[in-house]
Amino acid sequence: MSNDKGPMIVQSDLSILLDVHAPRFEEARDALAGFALLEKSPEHLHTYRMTPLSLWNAAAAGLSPGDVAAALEEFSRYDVPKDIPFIVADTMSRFGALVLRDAPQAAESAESAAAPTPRLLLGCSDDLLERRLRGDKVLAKWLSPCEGGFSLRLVDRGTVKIELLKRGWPVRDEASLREGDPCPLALDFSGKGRPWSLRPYQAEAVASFVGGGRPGTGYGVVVLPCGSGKTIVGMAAMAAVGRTTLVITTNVAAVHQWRDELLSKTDIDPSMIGEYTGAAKELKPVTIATYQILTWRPDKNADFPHFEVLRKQPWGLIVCDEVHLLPAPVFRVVAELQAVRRLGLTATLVREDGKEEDVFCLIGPKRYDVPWKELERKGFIAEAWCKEIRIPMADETRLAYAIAAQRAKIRIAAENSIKEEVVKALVEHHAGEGILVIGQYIEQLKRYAAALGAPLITGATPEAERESLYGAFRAGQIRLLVVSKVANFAIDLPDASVAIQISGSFGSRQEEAQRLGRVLRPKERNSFFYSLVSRYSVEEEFADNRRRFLIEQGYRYAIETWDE
Amino acid sequence: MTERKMDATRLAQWREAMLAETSVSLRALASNYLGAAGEKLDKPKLVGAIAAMLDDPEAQRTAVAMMDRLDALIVGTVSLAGATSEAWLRDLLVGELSFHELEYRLANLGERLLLFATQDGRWAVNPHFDAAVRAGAARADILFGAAAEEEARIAAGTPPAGGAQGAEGAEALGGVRPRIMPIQELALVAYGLLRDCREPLLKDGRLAAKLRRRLAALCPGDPGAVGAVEAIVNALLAAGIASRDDEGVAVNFRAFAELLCAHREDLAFALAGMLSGRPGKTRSLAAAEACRPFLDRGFVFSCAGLRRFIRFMPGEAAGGPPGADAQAAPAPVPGVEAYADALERLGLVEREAGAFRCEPERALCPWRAASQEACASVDGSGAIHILPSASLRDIVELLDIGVLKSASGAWTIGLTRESARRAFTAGKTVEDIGRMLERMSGRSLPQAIAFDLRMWEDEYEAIKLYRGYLLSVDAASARIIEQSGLLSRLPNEAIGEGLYYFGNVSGATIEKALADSGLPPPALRSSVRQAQARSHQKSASGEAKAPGQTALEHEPREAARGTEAPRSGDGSKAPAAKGHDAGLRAAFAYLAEGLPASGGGGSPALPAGELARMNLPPGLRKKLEERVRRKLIYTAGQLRAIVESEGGAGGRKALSADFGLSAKGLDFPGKLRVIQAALKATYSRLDIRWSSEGEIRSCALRPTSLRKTEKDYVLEGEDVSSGDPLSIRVGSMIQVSLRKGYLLGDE
Repeated sequence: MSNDKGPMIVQSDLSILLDVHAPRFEEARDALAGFALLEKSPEHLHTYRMTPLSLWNAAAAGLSPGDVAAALEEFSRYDVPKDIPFIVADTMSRFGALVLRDAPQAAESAESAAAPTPRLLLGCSDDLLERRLRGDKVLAKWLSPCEGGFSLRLVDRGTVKIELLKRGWPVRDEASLREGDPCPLALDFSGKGRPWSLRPYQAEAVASFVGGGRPGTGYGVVVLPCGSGKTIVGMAAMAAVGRTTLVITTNVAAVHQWRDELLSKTDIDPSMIGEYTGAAKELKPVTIATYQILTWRPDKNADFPHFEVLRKQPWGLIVCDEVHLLPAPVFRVVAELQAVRRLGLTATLVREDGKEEDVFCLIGPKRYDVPWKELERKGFIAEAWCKEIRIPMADETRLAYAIAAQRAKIRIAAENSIKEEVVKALVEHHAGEGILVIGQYIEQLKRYAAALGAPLITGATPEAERESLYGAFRAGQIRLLVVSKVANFAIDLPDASVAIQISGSFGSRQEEAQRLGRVLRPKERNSFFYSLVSRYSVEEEFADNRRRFLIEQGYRYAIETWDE
Repeated sequence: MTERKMDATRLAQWREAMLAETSVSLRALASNYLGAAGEKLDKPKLVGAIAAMLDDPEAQRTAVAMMDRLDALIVGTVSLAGATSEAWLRDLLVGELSFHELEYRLANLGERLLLFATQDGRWAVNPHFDAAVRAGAARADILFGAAAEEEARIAAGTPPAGGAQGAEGAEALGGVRPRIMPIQELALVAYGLLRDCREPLLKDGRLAAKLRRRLAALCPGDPGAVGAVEAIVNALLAAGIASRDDEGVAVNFRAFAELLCAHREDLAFALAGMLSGRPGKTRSLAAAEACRPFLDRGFVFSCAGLRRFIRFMPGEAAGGPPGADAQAAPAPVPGVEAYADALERLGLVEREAGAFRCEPERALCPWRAASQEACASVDGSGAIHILPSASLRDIVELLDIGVLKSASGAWTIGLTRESARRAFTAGKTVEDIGRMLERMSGRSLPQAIAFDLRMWEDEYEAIKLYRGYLLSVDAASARIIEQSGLLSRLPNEAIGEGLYYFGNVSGATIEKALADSGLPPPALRSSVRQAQARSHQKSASGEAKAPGQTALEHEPREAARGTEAPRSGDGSKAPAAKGHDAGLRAAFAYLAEGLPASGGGGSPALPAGELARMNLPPGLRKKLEERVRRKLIYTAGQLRAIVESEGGAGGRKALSADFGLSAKGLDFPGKLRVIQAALKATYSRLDIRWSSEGEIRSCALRPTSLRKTEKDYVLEGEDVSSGDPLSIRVGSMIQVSLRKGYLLGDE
């Protein structure tokens, strides 16, 4: 049965196109969020996809194959391909075939009395599957057949889950999570003089993560756009859980930002917060660390010394900020933290290495997401206008470009001298607004900083100076900053409303998202994101890839040429 | 079944056959089927009694039940084919049973009254058994099926292939079943790939590796897609919709699009027909209809059964043409093997342990022929999503401007710089593309896409590379080219004075067109600069070009000097001229050997000297001197022979203006003959004297056409000296003489 006004177009490759202009679009979107992943959300048609992971998540959330089929039938504009209900049912039925629980206590014996080793029990409801698992030599390293299924060590929980997922079998994890030590914490809405409130979507995100404490909850990923307050979601989760927490984030500036937010928006005592970075090694009930310190080791064969220290602490919650940046080596160590509640926060679960599934498996399924445009529409993040300005090269530059080697071409195009006049014009046009000029080449940035009379922040800028400049920018004392790649990561510049990108890495989608995030904090005015691209150069190709990503995210993106 | 309901003709034939039996054999039949025949043989009565016996349902059931598989195959084949000769039957049953066995079984089946031989020697089913045979023998599983495989499938309770597979099919992660793509979609994929790829095939007809990889990405989980697309491309080649050229495979995309849109349900069969040399829409429609029931149930053909089925498809002479000599061996039916092979290559049947299982999904037609609905969505990244409401024509139009990105389950096309350039080359403008996308999406084009298209079009127009021929001619030749209509006959552009660009035309075509216009064949040059320097300026030695000589006349002397191949200005050897040009060059070199080193003009010495010694009438002398000047006299002997033929030195006979045809005065047919001879020959001229408005006029004319009017003929041509067009009534001609042209151009 088809509905010629239905917003969904279900395709036989399990993708679903959602027409944003069709009636009942929002209802359909809400239904899809339960069992499909949002892949792209450009202007007219959003693309969702039912993946094994999304269907298992749906099963974990209590949806049945019939619920999914009914939703598809209700909203589909054309006949649902015949195979789809079968595929959905087959996929979802796999969830629950394997269940991980706490193993019953071992019978009292001399050995167990001396050192009881908690273990987990993997139960299997499918005889054929169980026989296959018994015969799997790789899994035999971690799984020991026993009555009721297979026994495994706590520390192997994450590894086994990943291995089974690779074989097409998800695990319903109902084993208990370690409680950790108590650390009560409450949100302080006075904001120490700057009142604030928890937005509805933030509360929903926390609720979906905490899940009422039911088995199978307390771990997962929340996907929210840059500027939408993921840090607040993290703090709200900490308040809900009320246990000792380890926060892992991307860099020291982000560590400080977390600290500042905790102090301004919760009732935590400063002495309860510790920083565990290269500069400081404080272990407190709430400890904020970087990924780098977690994965540091003196040589490639040595253990991770700092991880060992952190692993032994009785954490009740681990928050992975910018979880899409979870370095691959961290996967293994995070796998060993499976017994702890785990919250991943991210704006873009797109990884250049394609390991999204590992993130979902080790941190947990995606519990909550909402498209960027949706928050923009509701006014929670700024409305951003993206514009790509194609700039000609001067004749001598064109000649130099034409005869240069390929690698040199990239730089020549990036350092097109005409870009400077464009930047000046844009800065003048947006006078008074918080402006970031972002680039890749330090020498170029130095020239721009000098020409614009603006401070420059690069990786070499001392931390203290960086913090001071950020603070001055936030306070409105400085309205223009020239920044290098350090601006890609988690810094909070709520008053930046204009970002001018003069050069960037080779089409990194992640970088594009991060840069845009710098201007998306809610504010009273619209935000502008300019990308300057030299015409007839390799920059156009890079710009195409990045532009494609932003358009797929639903941003309005216009292209213009700069007429000299 | 009553006699009334049987095939009346065949019933009559049966009765006739029975009555034609000898008394002995009829008595034996009666004895076998009725008991004793009685003392007195009453043939009609016996035949009637036998007929009555055969009408007994029990007799019919028993007769059919006693048939084994081969009996049923024979009887069923005869039933389906109608009356057929033994030779045809043998051909239809090839591979099933031997010559002798067939003979034996036919005889036995005749005895059993299941079959009978008609008066013209063909075998037919006894009409009394029609219904029983249809139910018990003329069945698809017997006639065409792979018995063992079909039985095993039925015994296993496995549903026919093509239905929804059970859980055992969902082995991949998440239970995603490999999708068999219909031929219609694979043909669209082929269209898209051929748009991008000029060399899709290796020399042996297999798909190139690059295309295989793209197919694997576009059609994941369909292992037969490569073979099917390969077959589609080869079908296009077989049908002339595609052809091989120097650059690979050139496709007539318009014809390909028409093929896709004109054949919907029968596309797979149309392609099979093209591949096997059996094209035609009627045939393909009939094949589609015939095959549909078999495809739908995933029928399994035996090897011989498939070929037999093809023979039985509508349009094939399965039983032999009507009235065919019953004893004559059938002419081999062309293409049966090829058609069977084509069905397999296209994936309509899959080989399985010696049998052929139908693949119904290949014959599906998911896309409609036409649609008025919005059928696509364009986003600012250049991705065009094709909606299920799209038609074949919509998809083809989108493939004309974009690159196919995904095709299995969800069709997406990407608009790229390269695809846009391809569309521009095909004649589309930015406005065309924009209008099309807006019509298909029902929305205005995203700004980023509109920007990209305009930018790509600017780039496309900024730098152009042309392939073709550049013809450079002098002013006189230019006049002739332009006035003779040569320009309008060939695709060309005038790009300067005396400079013409010919694209998409072969050099030979240009040469012929020039020759048809009376111009000499051009020499293929590799340097524009060098050619210009030689043809219009003094030569390097400072010698002036002789009056009337063209650039070509210089070459032999230069070649003769060096006695080697002509060189270009930089000293490198000129590329070898081909064919005609090479022959001409050789001819020039030879001629040049006899010319004086000074290369000046004037008459050759020997004939001129001989002429001077002759005592000739002035008129004759003048004419001969003209001929010598035109280098038409090679030897003294030739000169003497001409003089003698013209009436000797006394000039009794006026020398004809030419060594050929001439007509004058009232010889109207003769004049027409001369004119027609000139039109047929190359390089011919006509010397004409005619009266016009009271004046006598004469000219040398290059004739182009002869047109009949109500009372006369009009000769059209071009005045050789002035280049002006002329029309002269044959009736006004006083004299017309044919002068054969010569190699060195006009005088």
